[in-house]
Amino acid sequence: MIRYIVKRLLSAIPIVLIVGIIAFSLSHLSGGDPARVIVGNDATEEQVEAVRQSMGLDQPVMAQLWTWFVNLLHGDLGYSYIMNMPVSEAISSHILPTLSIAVLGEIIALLIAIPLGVYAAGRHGRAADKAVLGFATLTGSLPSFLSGLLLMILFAMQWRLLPASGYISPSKDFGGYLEHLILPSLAVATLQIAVVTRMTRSSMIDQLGSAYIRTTEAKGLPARGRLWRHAFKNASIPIITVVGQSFGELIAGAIVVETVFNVPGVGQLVVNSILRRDYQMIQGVMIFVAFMFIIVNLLTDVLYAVIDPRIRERSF
Amino acid sequence: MTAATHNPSVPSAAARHASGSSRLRRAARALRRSPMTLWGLVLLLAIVIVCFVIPVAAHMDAYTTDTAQMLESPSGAHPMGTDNLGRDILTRVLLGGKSSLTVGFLTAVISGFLGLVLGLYAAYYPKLGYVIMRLCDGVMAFPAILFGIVFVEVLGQSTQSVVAALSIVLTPYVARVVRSSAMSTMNENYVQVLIGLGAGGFRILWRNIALNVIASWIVEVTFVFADAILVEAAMSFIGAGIPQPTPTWGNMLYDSRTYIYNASWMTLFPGLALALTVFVINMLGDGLRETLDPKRRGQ
Amino acid sequence: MTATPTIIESVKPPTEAPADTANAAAHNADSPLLEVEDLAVSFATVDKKWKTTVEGVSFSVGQGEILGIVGESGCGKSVTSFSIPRLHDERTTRYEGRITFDGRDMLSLDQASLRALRGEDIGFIFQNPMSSLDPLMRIGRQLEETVRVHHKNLAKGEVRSRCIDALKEAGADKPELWMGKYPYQMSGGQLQRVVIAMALVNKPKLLIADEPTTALDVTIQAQLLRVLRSLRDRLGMSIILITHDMGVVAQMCDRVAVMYLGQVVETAPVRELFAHPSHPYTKGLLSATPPLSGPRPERLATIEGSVPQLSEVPDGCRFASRCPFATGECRTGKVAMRQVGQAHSIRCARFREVHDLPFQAAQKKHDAAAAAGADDSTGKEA
Repeated sequence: MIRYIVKRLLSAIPIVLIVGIIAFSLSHLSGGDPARVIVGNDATEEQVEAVRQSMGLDQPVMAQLWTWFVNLLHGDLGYSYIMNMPVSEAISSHILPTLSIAVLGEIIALLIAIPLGVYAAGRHGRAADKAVLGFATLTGSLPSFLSGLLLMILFAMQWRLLPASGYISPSKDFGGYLEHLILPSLAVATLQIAVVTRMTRSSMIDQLGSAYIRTTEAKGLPARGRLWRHAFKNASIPIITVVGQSFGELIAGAIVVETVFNVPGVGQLVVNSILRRDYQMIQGVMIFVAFMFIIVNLLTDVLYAVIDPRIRERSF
Repeated sequence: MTAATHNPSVPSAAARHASGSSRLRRAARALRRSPMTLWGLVLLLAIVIVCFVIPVAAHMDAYTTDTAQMLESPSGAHPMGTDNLGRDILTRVLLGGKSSLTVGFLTAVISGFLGLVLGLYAAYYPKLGYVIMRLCDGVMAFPAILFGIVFVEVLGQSTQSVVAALSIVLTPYVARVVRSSAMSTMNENYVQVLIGLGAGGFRILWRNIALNVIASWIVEVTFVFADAILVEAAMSFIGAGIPQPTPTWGNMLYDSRTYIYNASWMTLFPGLALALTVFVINMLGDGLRETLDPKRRGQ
Repeated sequence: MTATPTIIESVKPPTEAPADTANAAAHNADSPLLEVEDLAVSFATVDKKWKTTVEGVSFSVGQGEILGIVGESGCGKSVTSFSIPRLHDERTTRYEGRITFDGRDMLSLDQASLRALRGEDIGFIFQNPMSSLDPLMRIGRQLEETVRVHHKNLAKGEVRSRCIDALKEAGADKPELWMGKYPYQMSGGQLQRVVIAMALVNKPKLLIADEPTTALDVTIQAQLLRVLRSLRDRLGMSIILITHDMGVVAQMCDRVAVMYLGQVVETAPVRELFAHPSHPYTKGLLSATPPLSGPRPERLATIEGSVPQLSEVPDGCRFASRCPFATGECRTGKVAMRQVGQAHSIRCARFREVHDLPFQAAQKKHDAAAAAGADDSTGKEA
């Protein structure tokens, strides 16, 4: 088991490297002189040169990449000269709402998608199955910001059931915190519902047609036991995979949805940074989300091993 | 059960002598059997015609602002109402469709091509394949929207950089599908025999393997088409997509946010247009998967 | 074949033979455990039509009897065996005829009582042990589950000891150790023992074994067959053994039903069948099987042609297209089962003439006749 985890960790290294290189080269593609941007147009050439040196911009590109990467691995996501604070500090002060929306959205999505997918698989080819597929295609066509806007129009404006925007910190008022999270989370959940429903359905159809399920039937096991204890457990690995792989999009969805509901999360940080042309900040957020994605996928790898003894054993 | 009890309907003679016309006929029959593909195609075609032809034919104008008609609710003159600058929303929805479909189509073509090439070579040359797949993993670690935003900010806001960003982000998805499909073809005996006979890599890849990959490739490219439209809309919605005042559904939704309380039609119509278009393309993708992709074909 | 003919039955006059249900009418068992009468199984096709894959299947299994069902792949033997506990997908399957098990009409049972029977009174052993077990669950839990679902109030220790007993019964050398293993940690032979243990853990009255050894090595095959045989000998279980291997039939079975293209074409006690194979298909099948002992023939006979598609099943006798004895009368009308000896029936229109004729000779003549351009005269010449 430990060998397996170590192996997964090692296999993540090239991806971390590539993610770093992509992010680094993006910021260096911009062409403009960051030092000039920071000190402003009316500064003297000496002042610019000083800033350039302090930022290490006079070094060769590879050396810059190296220092940048070493800093990154120490948790240093860069420094925003425009906001005059480390990127990591800015992210940590904005992350809670974003994560809350993403996690709650994921929970809502799983609670809806998994029963739907299992149900559809059990009625493979019948009207109910087709209805579920249609529903999945529909939710798969609603980007989070659009479903956010529609939910806002319905729940906040027509029916006045939930607050239309804003955010309350959980330490201040937990009920208010949840209340403000419901609509953004639902909005984020829509695309995820589509993805997870489809995967649950097709994975369950595969499992339900397999020989060992027939064995459980011949043993006289009731349908529910067959479905959940055997088929679903076996079907869960592709489902977990798809949940892990769509996690990045979920965070991205949360970032976009925040701008709809005016939630002060990472999304707002990103939008404001775009307006301020604060590349360091955007790049930092980008790296941060990518690393979270890698970590979540490492966790799903561990989860595989917990579920499947064959994976646990096959350490090499 | 046994294979013999299945599929009595496929005339083997027709399969063997698949002349051009019988291939067409078979395609037509497959289409008839798959209402999803048929409807997807018909509706997509309808959307394309409506978005590309009507604005030109009717000399519609999406840009002139008219302060006298700001935020008018839907009426005979403006079936979808007007926006905060008095522009006709119907016109802008149609022209927005034109931009969205163009971006989606270009992205699908570019990443479809790149993904096909990368996926095939990644399958055929394991070492190269390792590098390509790690690169894909790296790109896929970034959420498409975030990558798109940063890329467009860096290269400057324009339709071209949006297409470029989306193509880079979505190529790995195509490459992955192509690679895994090509790898399973490579395990087939006849390909191994060809390799053993010393047939050239290029020939095997493009003559034998590519043909077997095409079905799943088409399906995946269709979904990339839909994804590209979704991501472009999200980027525009954040204000980092195709620059204003070009009408795109994302831009229109971005504008609508301020007026959502008093002019919900500004949100509803572009939103519905976006959802409908993506729905139709996804439906087409599902239909194609059902008819083309043998692995997913129903029992 | 070592079995030499002991009793030679005279052919009964045809008038005595009733229609399809005539099988084994004279069999002396007091009411059989399982009785299948004129079973037909149809599956729904994609375009919502019904396709019959098995029809006119009749046989019975007495208490403590081993019935073999033989035939080529695709002849419907698996479909038939799955039909007994109604394992086919109920939504897409239509059963006709009667299946009486232990006094119960299986085809009209509701799902709950059906479930109560499966695994409790009817054990099922599947063809491929590697895929018949849940890969993510320990052997022990899968076995215990089988006990617990039918005996809810049994103490934990009792459940476990029953499972271990069943494993021992199935020939496991270290049953306790096996209980804690996952399927992927075991060999095919071991897994099949587990599957057998699972089928017999609740001491069923009937064990259905669908080609239980086909996927395994020959050496393990013999061991497992011995296990099955001892279950019958010591526990008195009735067994239906589905196989395509005539050797296995000879070793194991008391009675045999031969299937061809979805129909039973011959049923007989095993000795009788080997001594007097009467249906041309059985004759062909036997002459295509190397004898278990004695001198091997230089060449084994083959049955010419191939099994036609079910969708192209001809009118009349289904074997007619490959039968060296076939004449015009074989190709029209339905052919019923007729009794040709004690507990011995065949489905052959020419049952009176054909049943004593050797297959190979007929085949040679048939071939010669075909070569000479003559038509359907083989039967008369012989």
